[in-house]
Amino acid sequence: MNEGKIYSELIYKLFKEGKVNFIDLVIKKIKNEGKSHILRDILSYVLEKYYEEKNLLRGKIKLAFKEDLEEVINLLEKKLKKRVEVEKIEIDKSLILGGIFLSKNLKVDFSLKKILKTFIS
Amino acid sequence: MEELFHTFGIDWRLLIAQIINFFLLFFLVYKFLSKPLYEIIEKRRKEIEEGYKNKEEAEKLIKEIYRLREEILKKAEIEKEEMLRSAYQERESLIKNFLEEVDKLRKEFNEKFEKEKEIMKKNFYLEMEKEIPKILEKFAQKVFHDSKLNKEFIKRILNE
Repeated sequence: MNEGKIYSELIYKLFKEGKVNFIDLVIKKIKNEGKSHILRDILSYVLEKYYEEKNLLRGKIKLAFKEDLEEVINLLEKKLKKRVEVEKIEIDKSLILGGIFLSKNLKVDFSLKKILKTFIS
Repeated sequence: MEELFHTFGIDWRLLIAQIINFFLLFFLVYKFLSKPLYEIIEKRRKEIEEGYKNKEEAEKLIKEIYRLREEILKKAEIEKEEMLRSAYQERESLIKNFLEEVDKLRKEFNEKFEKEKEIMKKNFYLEMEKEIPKILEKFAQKVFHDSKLNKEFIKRILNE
């Protein structure tokens, strides 16, 4: 296990236990050691873990048309059996129909463009 | 003798005169007529002999000319045949070379054409591989890019 992951696990454990002061101390320690650059990764890891635990997927969505987002999210949640939160919406005509949901570790392509590409290849 | 002459009616003086006349005439004829005549005849004979000689020579010459003519004609015929044979052989050789050259060119052209065809085919397929998705995408854009279809499509896809 590398150093970043150890810190991440530690911070997440402290976060779960609500020990915010300890988190501050750990962050200070990291800064003092001159390893501020790993803080971003730590934050990302902690968030991921949190979302995973909460059965939550956060990401951006691209749609061929401006649709009722609630409906699309409901459908995605049903399909993925997870809660879905959309941080950003983009309209992309090249998708023809449907859309793409992109989270950090997952990509759900439900566009007609993808079906066509699969069909051609 | 005189009686015998008288019996036969011969006058010996007349006879003598006639004998003298005869010899005189003979002498005159021989002197003035026979010699020139002989010379003319001799000259004529020589001319005729010469003519014959010339005729024989001319005949010989004509025969020689005919022989030479035959020889020349034979030679010419042989030469003509030789020339024709040579020309025929040359023509055959030229035709053969020409046909070989044409065949070579044809083969080269075919090989080149086949290669070009293969390259064109490959390029065509490559181009098609690149273009077909674009074309299909454009086609799909035109046919399916419809907001009414979109909702139904999302429902179907995500409910699968």
